[in-house]
Amino acid sequence: MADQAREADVLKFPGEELEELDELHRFFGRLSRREKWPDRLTNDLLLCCEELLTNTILYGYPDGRTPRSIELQVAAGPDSVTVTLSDDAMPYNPLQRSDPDVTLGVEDRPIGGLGVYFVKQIMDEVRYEQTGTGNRLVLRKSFVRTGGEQA
Amino acid sequence: MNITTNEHGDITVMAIEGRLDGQHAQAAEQAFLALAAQEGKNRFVLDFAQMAYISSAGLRVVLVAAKKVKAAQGRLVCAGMNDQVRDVFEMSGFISILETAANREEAIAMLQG
Repeated sequence: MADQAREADVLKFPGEELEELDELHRFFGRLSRREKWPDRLTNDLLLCCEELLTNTILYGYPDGRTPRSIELQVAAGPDSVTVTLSDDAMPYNPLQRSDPDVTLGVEDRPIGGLGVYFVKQIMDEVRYEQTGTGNRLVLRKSFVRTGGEQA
Repeated sequence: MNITTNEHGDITVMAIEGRLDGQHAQAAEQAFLALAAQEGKNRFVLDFAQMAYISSAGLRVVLVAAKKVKAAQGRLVCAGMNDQVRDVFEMSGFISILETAANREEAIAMLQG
């Protein structure tokens, strides 16, 4: 596990509308500049968080209940990043979804089902836990700094 | 996200600027479908040169567009992808099932050829 001496950065979402994704992009933009992350790492983290967050906002609260509590924690280490997404949504393990067939052509390709697949492809480790109040996903991504960047 | 549309003869270029993600995908899909509904339009370029980022919600729009164009026996070329967009096209396999071009001009030339 990466060195996590620094306290994790936290972003909380009301979890009610997709406009909240703006905040996700601002949050990772700030972290990326501070940590001097390579662009690809920032984009990978953004993509994985968007995919999971979007699913939770759209499908996690089928009863339409509010308020909701969705929290993103990011622990930035020197050579890896650990992201924890916690929510109080309906219990659901997205990792159980079967992978899509990415060789199918345009006509046969079903719409959707790629988001969780991207998370599994991109991350080095993905762990799901059902919590007392909802769900927690812990994602870890290792990276190599190119050039002379120092965190 | 901003969408601008240009006509080059009977080729329609739809340029998407900004993020094609869960927040903006629906607006982009509606914009494309409105274009595709116009009489005789079935050759399209999706110009991504100013598109910073795409997610699976954005790919959904591209796939809906590709299915629509295929059904109309037309062609669709995706042009000007940055590294992030290319990564996502590769992971999804879209890079192998869609026509792509380095930029808008190349895409138009492909469709005119």
